[in-house]
Amino acid sequence: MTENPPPRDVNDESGRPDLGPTPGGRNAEFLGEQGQQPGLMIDAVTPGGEDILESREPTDREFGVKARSQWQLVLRRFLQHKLAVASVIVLLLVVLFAFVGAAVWHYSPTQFTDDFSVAPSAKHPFGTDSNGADHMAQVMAGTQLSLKIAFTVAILASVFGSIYGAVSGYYRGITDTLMMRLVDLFLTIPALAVGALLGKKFGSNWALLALVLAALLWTGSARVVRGQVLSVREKEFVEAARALGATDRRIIFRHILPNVAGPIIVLFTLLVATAVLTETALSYLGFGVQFPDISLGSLITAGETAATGGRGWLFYFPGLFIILIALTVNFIGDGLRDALDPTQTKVRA
Amino acid sequence: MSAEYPDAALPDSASPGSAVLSVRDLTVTFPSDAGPVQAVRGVSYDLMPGEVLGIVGESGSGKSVSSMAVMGLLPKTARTTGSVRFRGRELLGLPEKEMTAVRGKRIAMIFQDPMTSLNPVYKIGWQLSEAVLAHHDVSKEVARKRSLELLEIVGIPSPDKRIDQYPHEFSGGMRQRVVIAIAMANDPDVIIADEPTTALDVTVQAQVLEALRAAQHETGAAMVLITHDLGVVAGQADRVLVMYAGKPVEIGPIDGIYYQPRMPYTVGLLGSLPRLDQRTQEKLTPIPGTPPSVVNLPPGCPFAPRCPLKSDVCLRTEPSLLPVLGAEHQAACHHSDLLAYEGAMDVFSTDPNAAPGQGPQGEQHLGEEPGQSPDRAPRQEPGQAPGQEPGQETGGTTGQEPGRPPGQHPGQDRRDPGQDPQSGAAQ
Amino acid sequence: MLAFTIRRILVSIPILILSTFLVFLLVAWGADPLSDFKSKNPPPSAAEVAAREHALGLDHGLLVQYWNWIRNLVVHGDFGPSVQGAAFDINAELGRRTWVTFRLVICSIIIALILAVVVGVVTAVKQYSVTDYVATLIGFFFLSLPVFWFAILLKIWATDLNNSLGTNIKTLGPPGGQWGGIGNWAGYLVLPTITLALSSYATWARFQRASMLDVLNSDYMRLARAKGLSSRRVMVKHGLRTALIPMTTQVTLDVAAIMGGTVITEQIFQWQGLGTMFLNGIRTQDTNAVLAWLLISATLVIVFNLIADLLYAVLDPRIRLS
Repeated sequence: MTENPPPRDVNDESGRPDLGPTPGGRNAEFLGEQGQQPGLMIDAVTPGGEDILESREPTDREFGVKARSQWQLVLRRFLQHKLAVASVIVLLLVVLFAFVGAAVWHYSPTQFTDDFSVAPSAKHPFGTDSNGADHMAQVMAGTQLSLKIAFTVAILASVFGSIYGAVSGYYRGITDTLMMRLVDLFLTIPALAVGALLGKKFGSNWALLALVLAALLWTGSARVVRGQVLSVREKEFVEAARALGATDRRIIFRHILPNVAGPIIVLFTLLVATAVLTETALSYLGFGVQFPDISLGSLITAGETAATGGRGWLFYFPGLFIILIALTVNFIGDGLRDALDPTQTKVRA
Repeated sequence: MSAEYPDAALPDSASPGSAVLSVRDLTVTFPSDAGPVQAVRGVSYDLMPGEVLGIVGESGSGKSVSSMAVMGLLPKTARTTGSVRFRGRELLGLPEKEMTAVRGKRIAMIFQDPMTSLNPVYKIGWQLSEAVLAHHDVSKEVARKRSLELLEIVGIPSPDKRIDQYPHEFSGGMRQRVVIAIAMANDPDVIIADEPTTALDVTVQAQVLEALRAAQHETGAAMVLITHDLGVVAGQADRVLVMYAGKPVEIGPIDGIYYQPRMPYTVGLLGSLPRLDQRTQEKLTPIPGTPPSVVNLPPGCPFAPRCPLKSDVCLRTEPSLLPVLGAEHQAACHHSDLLAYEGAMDVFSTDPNAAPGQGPQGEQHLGEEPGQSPDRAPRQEPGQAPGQEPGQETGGTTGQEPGRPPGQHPGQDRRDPGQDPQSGAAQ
Repeated sequence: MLAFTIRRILVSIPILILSTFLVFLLVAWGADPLSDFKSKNPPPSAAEVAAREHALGLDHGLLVQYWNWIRNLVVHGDFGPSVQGAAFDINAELGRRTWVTFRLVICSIIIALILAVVVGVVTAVKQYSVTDYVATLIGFFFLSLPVFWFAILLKIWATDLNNSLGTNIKTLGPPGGQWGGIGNWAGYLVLPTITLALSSYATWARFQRASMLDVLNSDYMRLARAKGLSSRRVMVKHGLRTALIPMTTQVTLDVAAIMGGTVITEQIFQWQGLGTMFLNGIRTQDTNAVLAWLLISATLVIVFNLIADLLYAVLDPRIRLS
């Protein structure tokens, strides 16, 4: 997304030992010249890794810049992704709108005013529905619940999926085969359909609904993390940890998972977006969040008929907020991906 | 090597017109947020017909990028200036269409990693024939016949069976032979081999070098051999160009470079090379520090921060390439005369405290007379150690010559050997 | 290749069997076919409920129930009775609806795939160009679009357009038996297909772009150029050919999601496909109808997996021979 590769910390270069040619192929030489050795950079901060960077102090007189931690570099790269930064701001505003706004706004979503079906105005910025309820209050409540569910789902699913994938990838062999067959099995069944089936039963409690959705959406993280772990487990620092007698548990949690943190974080953002879209779709169908709770999806169910009757505001506003959440979260995920994996933004022909 | 091409051992540098490939002031710059990355900062060389020129340097020294520039294979973002002439015809700025006619036909290239150089989804024969068909209007049968022939030359056993296999059924060494076969498919005049053996097991390296030699013999092509492995260069090249931070720092006939290096960096490279004639308990001498970033290079000699001979002048002005031992041997160092007397052991003392202060007499008085550097070369001639001239003439491969081989002075207190291989270019 | 095919088919069978079991468990857990009956007013007596349970075979253990269901399915090809009454014959309904849904799925996969490959390749080749930025932004937008909301929006717009033009672009109503020809056929299909295709398109185009970028940066592309091949040949024969391989896996991974998408799309455009049958099944707690849908969907996914595996093997010799 970014036009130029982010600036390198010169210390990367000065501390970089000559690895000889990297098997990376074409870019190896260019990478070397621009001081971009992402793999190395990550290797060096690995807990338990052989810290090649620190064993050799920089000797170049001109390059005595203070060393930055990897996460500071990530932050700096992230800040260059303008859309992602703007998205963080917009998402924060949406969160404020949903949580603080609902507390401050002088209408409640269940309070019926005398203004029936009025178009957006100063008094009711988002208009009202046919019962006279203030639509902005409804959207606030809906956004709040949809956000709560989405983040709960994303946290549960990414934590479980990551551990599952890490264990599977770490042990390989028959464990891996069995665990991955189970994932394949899950993938044969559309999450949305099972969500509808179970949501009908559990939808009245948003936490249970979130649990159901998490149980359906974890497979993606498991697959990705497994793939990452398969490569990370071959790295020297894992071998070193094993040679030092670290337990499998310690190796997985202290050495492997921190090293696949990047993909996990990116997956988390994708999960938030997926969860919002899935939950609102289920709620729209009537199998998700159920009355008296309000979700952006259930608002659209009501808004659908209203829109064909010329009261479009009841349809457009909830939809707009779903898009706002999903879009900003996706952009943030993209920014994080670029920031965490500099090879993705390499300048190329 | 020299026995095979005796005439190429002493190139006729006086007439660059006869050079098959002539590179002048080649620079390559990549844009980056941190400022332009000057990957190559002025490379010039002439490649004579049939000659093998070794380009040596650490990764990031610009050796590969300069060759990619010759081939016109750099990313579009790269800015290339200077001149690359093939048989007198300028290649830089040639339209892509005309350049494709040159690539593979006149100048062929061999890449570093044979495991990824071949397209995994096509058969070996297909990929070889494709190279033939790209420049020759022949039938597929003819191209296949030629492919079989090529596989035979590079030493692939039972080529008629192997030709219908996929790259993943080949070992790394075998794949590199295929890449070599592709390079020689159209009888090129120049073969550029970019670290052809680096990604291979040591046991296979010699075989691949053998195949490379066969390819060169068969086509009669001149070759640019890019490597960080001085051992590879020693066995193959007629002349050597040493690069550091995007610039040639020393160029000369192979023996001159090996026995009379006149640039501390070259000395350091040789010092980090293990040798058979070295006493076993001796350790290798590393070059301290790492290559500089080529973004916003500071003024002065880029090697100065790592150089034990550095003086004030080194920090101020970058030395240019000047003749040191005759016109063919040139070095870019303000203090190249000092090196006439010292081996790597003396230059790169492994006592970290002593290193910068080494040779205070040289550092101090030489620092005051930068203006004299142009004429220092003639002054040095008589000063060199006896017995080196013959070595240059006979072209003996490694240092059994009486001249003091660099990089092995006994009885020095040195660093932990565990770190050594990483700091030097040779591994 | 034949051995490979047979092996893959054999591997698919246990997955299919396990999948049926998982589906059965889910439905047994998530739905109660007697819920309507039990909530009758006045409430039925315990004996009546037990009689109903016995009639539907629910008084057996779960494993026996599963066995009966699968036996009935395999031996008689019968998905079981519907709690919606005899008027709703699940088997007959499936026969009618499967084609409706599959046509929608296949059409949208083809459209999404073609668009995604073209856009993915173009944006990769022109990385960081204006085209790339615009396509990426549009892709992100589609990726973040709630399909159901967008479908309704399209429907509203199309209705408005129809009204204002006085013509009739046929997007609404079930595709009946008396179609006027290709034009009509396409007319019914167009909006639902677009809706369904868009979200997959966004994911796939991004994936294709990444895959193409990978290939563009590969060593063999460089060697292909060094051979002196024309740019066009390098791009098509070496670039596109190889960059298409990973796409097969990506598409199969998303087939389940597309099946899920049909549920929404059919609901909104009121198609009498499998999706609406499934939703009605959930609403009425018609376990056998729900099971039938889940089973067909799982089978479709497994078949797609098989096809993708075979395609992958055809495209990539490394897989074929290992």
